[in-house]
Amino acid sequence: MCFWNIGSTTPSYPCLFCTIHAMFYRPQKSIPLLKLPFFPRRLITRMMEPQEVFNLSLCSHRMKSILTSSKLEIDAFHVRFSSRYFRVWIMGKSGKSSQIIFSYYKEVMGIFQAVARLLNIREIYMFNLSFLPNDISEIYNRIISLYSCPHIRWVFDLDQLWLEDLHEYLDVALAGKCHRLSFYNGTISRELLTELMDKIPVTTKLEITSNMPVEFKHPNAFKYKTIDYSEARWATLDDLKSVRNEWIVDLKSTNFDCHDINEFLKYWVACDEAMLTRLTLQLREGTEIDDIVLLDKLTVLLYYYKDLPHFVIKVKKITNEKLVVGHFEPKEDNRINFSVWSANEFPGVFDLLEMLEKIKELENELLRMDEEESELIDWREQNKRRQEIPLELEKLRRQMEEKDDFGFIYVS
Amino acid sequence: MSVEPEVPIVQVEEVRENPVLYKIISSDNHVFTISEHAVKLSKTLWDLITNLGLTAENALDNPIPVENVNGKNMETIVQFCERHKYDEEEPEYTNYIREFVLPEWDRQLLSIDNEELFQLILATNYLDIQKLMDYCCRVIGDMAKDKTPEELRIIYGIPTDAEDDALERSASDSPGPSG
Repeated sequence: MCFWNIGSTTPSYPCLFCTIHAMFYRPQKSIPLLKLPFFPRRLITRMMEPQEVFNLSLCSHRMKSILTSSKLEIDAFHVRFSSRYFRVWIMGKSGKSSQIIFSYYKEVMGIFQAVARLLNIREIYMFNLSFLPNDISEIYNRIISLYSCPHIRWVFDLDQLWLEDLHEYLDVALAGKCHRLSFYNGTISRELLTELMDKIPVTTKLEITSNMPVEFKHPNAFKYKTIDYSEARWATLDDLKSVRNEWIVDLKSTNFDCHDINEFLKYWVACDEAMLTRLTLQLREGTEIDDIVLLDKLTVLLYYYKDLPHFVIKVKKITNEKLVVGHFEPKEDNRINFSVWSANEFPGVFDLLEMLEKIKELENELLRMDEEESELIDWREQNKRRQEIPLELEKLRRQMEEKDDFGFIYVS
Repeated sequence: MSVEPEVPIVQVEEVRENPVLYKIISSDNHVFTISEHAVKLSKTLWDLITNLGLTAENALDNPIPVENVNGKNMETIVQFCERHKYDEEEPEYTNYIREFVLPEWDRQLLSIDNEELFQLILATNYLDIQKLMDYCCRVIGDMAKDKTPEELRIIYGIPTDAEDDALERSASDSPGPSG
């Protein structure tokens, strides 16, 4: 655990253990990595864990350039920091994760340094200088240039971050590739939240677990790729209906009740556009799951699990093949989970839902015939349909019984 | 293609199983016999055998010279190929770390000093033996475990920036081909 200057390839202040170790550490003979042909050299670095590749990049600028040109593929890259530390978490392709911590200390922390080294904590890098946004940018770019990563996430610890730092670091995050932004701990004011949502592109996944204002509104709030808010009592039914991210909405505290959920589900069924893949939310405190309210005017295949109504439902018009069948699951702690799947995911269930929908259409047709009395109606044709529809209905009901291996209750 | 009569012929145990044998001569004139299944692990050797039209009948009369590989490395390579000749074919090379555990037998085989390992990896690269290359690289990659940048610099013989600069300067100062 030596002290480094940002951008340097040699420690500016080697720790005591490194100095002693370097005196005695003499391997039999080096393997001259840079003299190997391209293919084995690249293969060797790909056999390494992400943190080892980072350590290797610190050896020299030439080594770093070589590693940058043949980026190591990783699965995920998370950056988390406060005003005093900066932590990188890397998930390698092997499934193992590595952590690199950059920390700033004004003085040489002799005992801490010794203990950390004795405990073999090699992932901590100490810096002689305090972190300025430019430094963060340089360290971040230096690390990320070594890897090819499909998912980059920045985590801001709001209770340990000065406001001016937050803005500057956020600019660094948004200047590069950033798929997910998380704001943890502390409190976030209405003004700051508005400012953040003005700045953060809606293609980003947004997670806020910091305390948020109870009353809040922003046009982008329900447009992000993933919406994960621990406080969403300010969210309205219209907010929920406006979701088109085709991905995830997770609200850990809301003012929604069963009536709102029923309204949302009716809207989802009729919506001409794909809305979401998963909605998880906590109902308003004290709300009791009422199946009559929940199922009002919905066509569903219902079953009960732990005395709670679970059901499957389908959209009327398919616009995204992957988002066709919805599965509603209430939990005992008043959380509800609504996940949306492709028709292929539950083939038998989708067929049943189609038949149930057809039954409802035929029943409505019969009702309309009873209600419509006009001289313009072709009575012969109508009488013929009156005889046909019950037969069709009977046939459909029989088919449903044959196909239903699950024992659903049909609600339409 | 002349071979010194006193040159030792290295017999590998498994060779006897396979009736089709090939002879390989290393750069220091050691002669090795290798079975057909085993030699197929080396893309370079197998291409050579195919192009030369060697068959079961004439293989032993036509030794294959391999100028770039010495006897010591060739012995390791022949042992490795005979050991792995019936292994299932490796899946297509993937673009990331492959999680495999180096078998104990191979770990023992590759427990050689770094200089030899370096030469072996060059030979493996030349002979294009994917599995042995994977194993050698795994051994070399594993040397980075729990090492600091300073230790890595020593293990992998990486010059510092100052050394690289000095090398570059001396290269640019030295006279070119025209003198």
